Amino acid sequence: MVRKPSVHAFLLKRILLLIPSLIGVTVMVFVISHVVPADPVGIALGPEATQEQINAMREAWGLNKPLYVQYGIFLKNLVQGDLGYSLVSKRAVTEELSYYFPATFELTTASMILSIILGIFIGIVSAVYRNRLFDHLTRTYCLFGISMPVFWLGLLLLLLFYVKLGWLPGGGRIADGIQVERLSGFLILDSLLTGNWEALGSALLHLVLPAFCLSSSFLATISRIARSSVLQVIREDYVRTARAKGVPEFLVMGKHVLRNSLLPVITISGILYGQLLGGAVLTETIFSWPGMGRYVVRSILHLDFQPILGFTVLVAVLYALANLAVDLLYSVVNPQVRLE
Amino acid sequence: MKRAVRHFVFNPLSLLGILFLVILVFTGVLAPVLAPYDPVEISPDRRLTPPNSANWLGTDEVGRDILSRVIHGARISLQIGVTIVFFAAVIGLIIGLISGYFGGVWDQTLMRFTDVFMSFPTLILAIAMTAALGPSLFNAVLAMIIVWWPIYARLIRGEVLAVKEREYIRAIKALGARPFKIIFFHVLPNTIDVVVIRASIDFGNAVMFCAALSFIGLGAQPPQPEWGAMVTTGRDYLRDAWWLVTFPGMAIFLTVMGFNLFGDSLRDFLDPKLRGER
Repeated sequence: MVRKPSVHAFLLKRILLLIPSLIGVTVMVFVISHVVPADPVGIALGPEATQEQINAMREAWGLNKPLYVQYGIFLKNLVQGDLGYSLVSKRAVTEELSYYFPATFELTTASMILSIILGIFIGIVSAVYRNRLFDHLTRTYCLFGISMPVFWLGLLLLLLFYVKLGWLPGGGRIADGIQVERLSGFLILDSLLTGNWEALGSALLHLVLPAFCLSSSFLATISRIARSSVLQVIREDYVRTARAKGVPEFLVMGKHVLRNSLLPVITISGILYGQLLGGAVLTETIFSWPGMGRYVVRSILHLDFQPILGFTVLVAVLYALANLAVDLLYSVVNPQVRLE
Repeated sequence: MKRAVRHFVFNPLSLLGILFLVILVFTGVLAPVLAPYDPVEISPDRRLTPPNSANWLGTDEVGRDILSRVIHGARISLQIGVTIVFFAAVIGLIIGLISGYFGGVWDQTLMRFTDVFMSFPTLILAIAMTAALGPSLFNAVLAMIIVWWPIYARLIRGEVLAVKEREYIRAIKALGARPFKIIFFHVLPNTIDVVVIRASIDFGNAVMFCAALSFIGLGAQPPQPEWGAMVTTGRDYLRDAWWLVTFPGMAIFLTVMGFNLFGDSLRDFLDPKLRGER
């Protein structure tokens, strides 16, 4: 009898595979920070630095040492969670990123959930009613969704729903004057935990436009993939068999078609999560969403390099973890992969 | 040829895509002739004028004509798209061909190298790279090429792996042809289709990504009439002057949509296997 590899072994293998990829990430970030800029110290200190400051920082960063020693120092700092200091606020980048992280996580998670659930639903309905009105409408939406620059869509949404109609708030995470006790930093969670319903309502209302804006292109991509995947699965023999047996249509769709057509959607969602983090930079800027993306754009405007770099490292780690999660989810939905 | 005309002209979506692209190229090339005003000329007495008969798309916060700026923006976008896609595709093509054809250590090294680039979301890596190089349109384009070529390298490597196992390649090899000749005369022509398809879709994405970099202040700098940068400026006047944001954004949207439609259609034409289920 062939022994089935356990989920633990699979998990361990996937985690081990993360290590070379993360080492690659550190090398890349090291190259961007130490090699690409003609004068990293100049960038870090800004144009008004004195010669003594420059010399002191060169010494502190070990820039007079060979490149591999510099990489060692960089890695040591990174492992200790030291991502340097922001020039503008003079605070540690790690501290600032952890402050802004919950807002970004809340926004990207809401967008991810919205795109996946709605995307799969639209994809299935579109495939079932192929070449009918709903299908044509959703395919037009998909084309618009993938072609629309997220920063432009955001501004148009603001123009319509905030400036003209006044239905939704124009930016921020919560209305001015409403206080929520900061437990986790996740506003929705915190207002739920403290039973602050007014805050919960305001937080959800503030989330509508940014989440819709950020998810628009992912929703389009996922519906497109789900549609073509359902169209393929629907023709499989086992679906025909299920129907011939007299299984009710909703069960055929829910059990046989949905599960099998989910695989391509799951595969793409890891990559999409990375793009979502990129899109968050733009969305947060438009909706004055106090997350990491807006923090980074502010750093760009001040030529404050360390926060940009810290954010890049963090995003690479999140991206790797998202892909790991996708692998795991994939193995749950399709047990065959575990055997590979 | 007949098949090509039938495919592209009698399909309304592909025709629409081609129409957008023709307008883009036409406007881009003839920008100085077509634009009614100088795109950077300031006229304080005409600032924030809504669309009217003299300024069809209105004027911006310092009185520059938006139509003229959008027209000149087409030229910049065209240059951005061509530069990014051309260099990313050529670099990716060379690396992908070497990696796929020679395999072994070459393949391992080059592919691990591309893995590193692909460990970052494209836009984030481009942001970090442009920030390190210093904000400017040239650096934004350079950063985009740096982050984009691995996608082509991976794509082409995959194709080469499939092509090099075919009978005719083995036969030429057995006849003693040199690797260089095999790659350029036999492998390359059989992998170029995927590059062309991908490039046609990527062109729009390149324009969109570059506009995004300009939007956050890393790409084009004022007073350059670049679409993304124009949207950024318009943001501050959203409440009173909707036309500042609307028209440059629309130009980006139509360009990207044009390339998406054209790219899809080209894929159907060059690779009929993929047709149908989209």
